Amino acid sequence: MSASRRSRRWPWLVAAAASLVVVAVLSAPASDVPYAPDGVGPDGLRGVVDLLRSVDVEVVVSLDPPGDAATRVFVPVDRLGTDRREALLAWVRDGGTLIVAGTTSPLHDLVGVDDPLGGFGTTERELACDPDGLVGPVEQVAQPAWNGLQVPAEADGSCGEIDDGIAWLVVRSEDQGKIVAIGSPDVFVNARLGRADNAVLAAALLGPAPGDRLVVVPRPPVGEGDTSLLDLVAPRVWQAGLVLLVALLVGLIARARRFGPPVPESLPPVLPASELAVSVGELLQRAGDRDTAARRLRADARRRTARALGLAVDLDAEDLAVLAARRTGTDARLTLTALTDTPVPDDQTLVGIARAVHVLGSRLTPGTGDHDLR
Amino acid sequence: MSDEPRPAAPPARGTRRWWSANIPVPTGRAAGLLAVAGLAVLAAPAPLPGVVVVGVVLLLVAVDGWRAPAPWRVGLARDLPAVVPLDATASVGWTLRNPLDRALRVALADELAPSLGASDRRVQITVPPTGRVHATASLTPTRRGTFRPTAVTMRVEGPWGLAVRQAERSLPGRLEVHPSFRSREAALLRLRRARILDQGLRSVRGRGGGTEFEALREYVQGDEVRHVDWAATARAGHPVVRTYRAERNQRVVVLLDTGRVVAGLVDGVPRLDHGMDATLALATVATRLGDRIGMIAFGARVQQVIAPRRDAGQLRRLSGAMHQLEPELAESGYRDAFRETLARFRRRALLVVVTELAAEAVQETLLPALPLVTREHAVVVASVRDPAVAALCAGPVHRAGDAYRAAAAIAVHAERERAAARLRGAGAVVVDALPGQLPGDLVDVYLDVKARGLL
Repeated sequence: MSASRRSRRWPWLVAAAASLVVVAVLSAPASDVPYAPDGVGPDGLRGVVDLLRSVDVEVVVSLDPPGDAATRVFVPVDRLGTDRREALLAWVRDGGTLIVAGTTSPLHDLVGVDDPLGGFGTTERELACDPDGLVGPVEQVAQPAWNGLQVPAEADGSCGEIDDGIAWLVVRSEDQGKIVAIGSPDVFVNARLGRADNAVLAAALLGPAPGDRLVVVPRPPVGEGDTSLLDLVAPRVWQAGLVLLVALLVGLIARARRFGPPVPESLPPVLPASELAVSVGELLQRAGDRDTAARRLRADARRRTARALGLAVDLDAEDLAVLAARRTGTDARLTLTALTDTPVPDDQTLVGIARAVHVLGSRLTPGTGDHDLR
Repeated sequence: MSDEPRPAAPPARGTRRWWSANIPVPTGRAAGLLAVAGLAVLAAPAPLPGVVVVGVVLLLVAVDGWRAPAPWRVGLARDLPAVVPLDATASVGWTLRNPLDRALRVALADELAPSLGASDRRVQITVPPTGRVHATASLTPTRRGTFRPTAVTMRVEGPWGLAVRQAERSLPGRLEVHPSFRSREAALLRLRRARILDQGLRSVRGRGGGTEFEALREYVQGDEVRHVDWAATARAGHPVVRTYRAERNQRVVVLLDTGRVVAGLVDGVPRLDHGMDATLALATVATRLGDRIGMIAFGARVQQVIAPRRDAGQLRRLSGAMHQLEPELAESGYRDAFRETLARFRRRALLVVVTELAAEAVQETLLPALPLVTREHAVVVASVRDPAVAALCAGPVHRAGDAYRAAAAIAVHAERERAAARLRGAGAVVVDALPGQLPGDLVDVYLDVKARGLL
């Protein structure tokens, strides 16, 4: 395949790939968003919602706190703005129970410690506790990252001790209400709800009894809270971007290895033979030596004219000009300009002399303007 | 006929070359596969983890590279012509033999210099299972000289085309690019004309007529009366004339100047190459007319000496001797060249000094040395005239710069004419002609010298 055909095909390939990307982005389902209450992907929370509803727990997805203190609120990912956080905390202080996941949420105001080995496979850990009867009969839970929270002195209780003074679940009171902080929401995602006692923990913590209500606080709309335009990009687009980036790197590696070494060659000097004449002409011009230039032009014109007309080469210039005008039918002023040495005050005069010489030459050898070099 | 394609010995284990050939390199196809996988991740109904996708593709690349045979296992031979004239077109070929029982995709990059004007320095070939394939590319050299490609880089693809293995294979070769013989037609035309005259088909004595008796034949209208052989006429009873042929076994020695004065380009070609073209034209005519022609190439010192011979191979010898000559950026040593000529060739000969009529060089070096050879030999000084200078002299004048350049060109031309006149005054014949005319004019002078019995 020729290079030109390949180059013609490239724009079409790029356009096709771009179209595919646009279609894929536009058609990407919202359920890809991690920890979304309606997310059906591995990282979604639809499983928890369906589980709770199956045991007659009323699950509501809302950014606003409920009106009553009996309803529990679950914040799987805290991307809320200050106002919404304040509203939620005010509701807690009035007696509400807030379950918030993540180590950095200002809602629980605890110091978080991320699991340095997190992400390398799911591990199980025993909780073996039930502070305030919130956890229920849970023995072990499974998740990929055991992020911990420092347990404050005033804490009501903690579960899943990770290190000294650090636990995965911490319960503390906030006036009349309670805040249950957990290290991460991964324990409740669809992919792990069936592992260990994760479903039991979800039921006990989020909807302990039939008829209870739960408000799941989703990620706020783009532009509110800690969200940005990047949140509009679906995770699969990030994944695809990663693969495409690697594809680009592989393509660069494929092109980077030189196929055959460059072949050095020592070439002979390249200089036109006429360069001497051109350079001398430019030096004459730079020096403004019009008289020398005109003298050379006229001397050559006299020699050629005398030869062409069969006259003596050393004939007087004015006589030669008169004879040349008469025999060639050229204007006498032109032949005088071309053949007699008169002063050359400026470059324009020199150009006139050169033109007169040129015209006279063409009259002497009709049909050609060639210089007689023979 | 190309050589048998042979595998090569593998490089020593653990060396840089060994590692270089054994580490597979992903191809554009691997990158394309990854790009398609990326789009699949984007469009798949179920989420696909990108790391896993990348891992799978890279694993495929590694397996493909592992399945590609080592480049030294593939049989390879290069078919390079020994001699190519400048500006002519020849072909270079590569023969590959597949040692595997599956088709093999191989790419080659040969070490051909840019001046060789290869249509493809890199080729891609699919070799059938256990089969052989021959690929060719055309060469149109743009520079004389000896080229020695030493290696071919071979790239072997895996069966899926996702990875390649690459190694350099040693494959020494040699190619001589000889000077262009653009004036061949002009030389042959003059040769035919000389033979016609030589055979006496035309009675008018002219170039190539000669003075050596050859045969008797019947008188035809136009024959010179002085050529009538009266004794033979009396015996035959009708007019019979003597025919003559040009003398044979005479000597012509070309002194080819490679000094700085012949470095300039005329019509895009160095003056030296124009001189070589004229030398080849002269050699063509001289050898076919039975004369011996030799050559001394000189710059600051004598570089090449080709003894005068008249056999058909002399043209090739001259061409071979000239192909590596390049202009030296040094003053031409005419005196040394003439001394060498006198020392080697004592018998009278036509010395053709192919040089440039640069005023200073002629005045200061050539003219003082010329008497060394004009006493013993007939001397012709040949030079190529630059049409670009003529164009500057006679070109239209639009600006002051044109007038200044015309004045300078006229001065250069006048100096050239004066140099030629001085050489003529010293006893040399001067041939100063445009590029396309120099070889023909030089041959004409040679024929004229022969016809006038000056040798």
